[in-house]
Amino acid sequence: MKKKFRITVDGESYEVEVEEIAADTGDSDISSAGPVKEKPAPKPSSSAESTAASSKSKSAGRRQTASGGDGQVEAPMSGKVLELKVAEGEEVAAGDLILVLEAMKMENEIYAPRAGSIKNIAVSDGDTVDAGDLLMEIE
Amino acid sequence: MQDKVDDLKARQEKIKKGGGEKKIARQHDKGKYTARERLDMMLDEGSFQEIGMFVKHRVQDLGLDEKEIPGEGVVTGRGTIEGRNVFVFAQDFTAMGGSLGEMHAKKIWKIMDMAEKAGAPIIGLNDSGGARIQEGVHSLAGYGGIFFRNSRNSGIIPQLSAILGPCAGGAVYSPALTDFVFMVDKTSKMFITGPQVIKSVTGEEVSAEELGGGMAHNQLSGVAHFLDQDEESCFARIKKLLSFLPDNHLESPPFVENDDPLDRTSRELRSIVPEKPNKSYDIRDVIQEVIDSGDFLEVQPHFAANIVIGFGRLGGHSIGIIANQPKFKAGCLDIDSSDKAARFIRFCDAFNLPILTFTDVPGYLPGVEQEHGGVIRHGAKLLYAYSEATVPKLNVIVRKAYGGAYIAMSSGHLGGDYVLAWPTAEIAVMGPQGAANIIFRREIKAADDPEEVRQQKVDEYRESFANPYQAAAQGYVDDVIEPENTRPELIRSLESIKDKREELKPKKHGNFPV
Repeated sequence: MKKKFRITVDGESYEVEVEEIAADTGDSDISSAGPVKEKPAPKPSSSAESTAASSKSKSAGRRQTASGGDGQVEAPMSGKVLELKVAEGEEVAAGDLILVLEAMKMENEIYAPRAGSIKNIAVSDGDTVDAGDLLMEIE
Repeated sequence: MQDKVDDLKARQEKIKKGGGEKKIARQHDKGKYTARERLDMMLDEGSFQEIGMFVKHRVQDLGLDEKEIPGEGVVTGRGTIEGRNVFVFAQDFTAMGGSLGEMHAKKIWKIMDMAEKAGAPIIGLNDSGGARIQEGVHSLAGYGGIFFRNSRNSGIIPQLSAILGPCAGGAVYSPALTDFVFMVDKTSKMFITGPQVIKSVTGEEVSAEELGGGMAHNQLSGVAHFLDQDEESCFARIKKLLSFLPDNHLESPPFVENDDPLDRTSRELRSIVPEKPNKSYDIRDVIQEVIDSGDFLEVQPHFAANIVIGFGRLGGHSIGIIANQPKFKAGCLDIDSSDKAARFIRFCDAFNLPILTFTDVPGYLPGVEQEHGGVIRHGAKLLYAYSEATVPKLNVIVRKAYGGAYIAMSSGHLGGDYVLAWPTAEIAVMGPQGAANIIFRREIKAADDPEEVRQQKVDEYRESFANPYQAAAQGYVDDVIEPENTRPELIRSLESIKDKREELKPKKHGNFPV
């Protein structure tokens, strides 16, 4: 998606065209071409990402309560999928047990945040997941 | 004389109409009540006594000199709730959007000062478009004076804030400084910068509801403590909360007789908590089984659900309850749960509410995000808050109590008065798997069948350490009790210590790891 901006630097006006390639390509962001020079809100600190190559630290991890309105069910914490309790296409009610995640040597029961049918199951039994990883979606 | 009285009545009537019929209708269309309707709903019938009704602004420019703002956009006064004295202010959105100018703020200051002098709770009903721009720096001074009073009154009188409309920019900091924030779904909005500003600065697109609606602050930010579906339920909840609180820091919370026997035992408790340490359950079932009549007012139920906090009563005494919640994130401690519990402990301590803790904690949540997010300093809050608290502190270790998390959860080491444990308790530096793997690393490695040896060592460790008796042998656990006796044991413990006198050394204040 291309967008046109007019920017003024030291009184001189420039017309620039900015194309957003993908949401997650990092620093180049529409807003950096926008009228305000400030950097976008800081992402989780870059040192966190560099020192922990294995840990996919991301802002989504903070939204770990897994009841986003968009029906995405994310892992509340890192762990191992012990048992999927639902199958693709299955209808669930809000609060139904959908998955058991072993973490901190505990069997953590993950419940459906809303009613709907299960789709895009992203994990299978025995998989290791990080906090914030997509488990499945409920449509 | 009569004409003067008639004039008075006419003036009163006019001010009571706020922004006028049209604006009132518009407020109702939005599913909102007016400031006066709200006060009528919240306070005991006929108890409202208005203070400062005739206050007017004194702005001479930008057209405001010709504009009348009835009541200055805020209704202030006092009244009673269940017979108890409370001070209140309710911003009136119908009168110039409830915008805050100099005299609007001064009405609020006055009520806050009176509440402090009277030693009575203050309840603010917020519904305001923000600063009255025409008044410039006067409105900023207005906010500043409110924040100052919120801070100075903190820990002296309970301060409650209900957000019943927009609350944006600097206005959000008054509620944030108060003890409890109530929100109403779809009606309340709180943010420092709104969706338009965010879009123009960072390019992020977000709706007002997503950004600062009731669920956003009850679940994600932890700013709010209660979420209700409508204003009626919100006021009912304010009354319920007040029933647990004293009027000020020098008084005890109300004692409420009830017919739940003090010596009631509960076999249920044996089955609620699974014996296997890796099975989860809902700790709220334990809380409800133990406290008077199962009457539990949970605070912040949606935020950091791995720790449960709330109010209840034991033998008629109002108490604050903190409990690990194995059902969510294994009940571990992390940044948000430490933060949530620490602030609650400090509230209880400030207002003479004994603290009851239920411990079942596997430890602190591991992870880079946690470490870099400052779990060290946030976790420290919990240690500080428990250590600092001088109210009676009771603890029941239900199952797991490992490592630093054991210390943090109201242990005797932090001044806990009673630490009771169930026979299922496991109190150790770490869980059997982790411990055996470290202590017996060489033997396991050298064995012909490492897995068999590992399991054997894990079992050995569990047998000798994963129980309450090591800690009890040192006196760190005062008694190991049968689960069904939890309620009577807690009640007699509380009775024995409820008049506890413990004072901190005189100092300005400690340096709490905020």
